[in-house]
Amino acid sequence: MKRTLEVLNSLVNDRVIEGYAIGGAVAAIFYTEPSETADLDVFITFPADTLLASLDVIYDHLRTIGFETFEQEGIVIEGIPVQFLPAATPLLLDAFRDAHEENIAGVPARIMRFEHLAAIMLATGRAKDKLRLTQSWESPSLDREKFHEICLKHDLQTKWENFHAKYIENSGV
Amino acid sequence: MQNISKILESESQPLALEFQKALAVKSRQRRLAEARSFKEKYETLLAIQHRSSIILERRGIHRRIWPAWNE
Repeated sequence: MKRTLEVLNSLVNDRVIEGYAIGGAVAAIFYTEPSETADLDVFITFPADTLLASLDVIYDHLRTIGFETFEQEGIVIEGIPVQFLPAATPLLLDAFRDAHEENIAGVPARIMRFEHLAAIMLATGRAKDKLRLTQSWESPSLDREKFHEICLKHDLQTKWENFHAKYIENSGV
Repeated sequence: MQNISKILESESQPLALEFQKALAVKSRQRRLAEARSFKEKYETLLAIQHRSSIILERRGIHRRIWPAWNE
C-alpha cells in the first residue's frame, strides 16, 4: 500500500494528474470496519492546461515506469489493482475537493470524507454499496447532519428517504 | 449527560438498563473504531480478501490478493 501511494503522489508531482482522492472501500477503512474490495478507487482531476485529458495519459506514464499489467479491476501498481476514475459529477467533484490528507506509514495520501463516501454509496446504489451504507449509518464516525446536507445539495434526499425506509427503519438500526 | 441522567432516574428500571446497555455498545464501537490503526484494518481487509478468493476460486475466478503491509 505504501509503495502504491508513493506512485500516486509521483503522478501529481510529475503533473500527469492535478490531484487525487482515494474513495471506495479503502477510504472507508479510515472511518469504519473494513469491507470486501478488489481494487483501490482513485478519483482524479487533470491539470487545467492539459490538452488531452484522458486516462490513457496516466496509463502511458505508468507504462514508462514499469506498470502495465491490467486486471479486471484496474492497473496493477505495486501489487494493488488501481482503478482511476475522473471526478466527473458534481458530487464526486465536491468529494474530491473536500478530501483531507492522511499519513499512511509516513506517506501522505488524500482521502475522501466519510459523509461524501456515504453519499456516493447512495448515488451508486449497487448491492455492495447498499450494504456498506447501512454499516456506515451505524458508525459513530459518520456526521449525519453533514451527510443530510450533502444529500440535499446533490438531490439525493428522496433516494435517501427510500433507502432509509427500506433498509434502515425496517432493520431497527 | 444531564439528559441521560434524567432519563435513567425517571424511566423504569428495565428500560434504564436497556439504555445503559445501548450506551455501552455505542461507546465500545466508538473506542474500537478509534483505536484500530489503518495498518490493523488493512490486515483485516487482506484476511477478508483471502476468504473471498477461496470462494471465487471454486467458481474458477482467480483474483489477486493485495501485498502484505510490510512488503
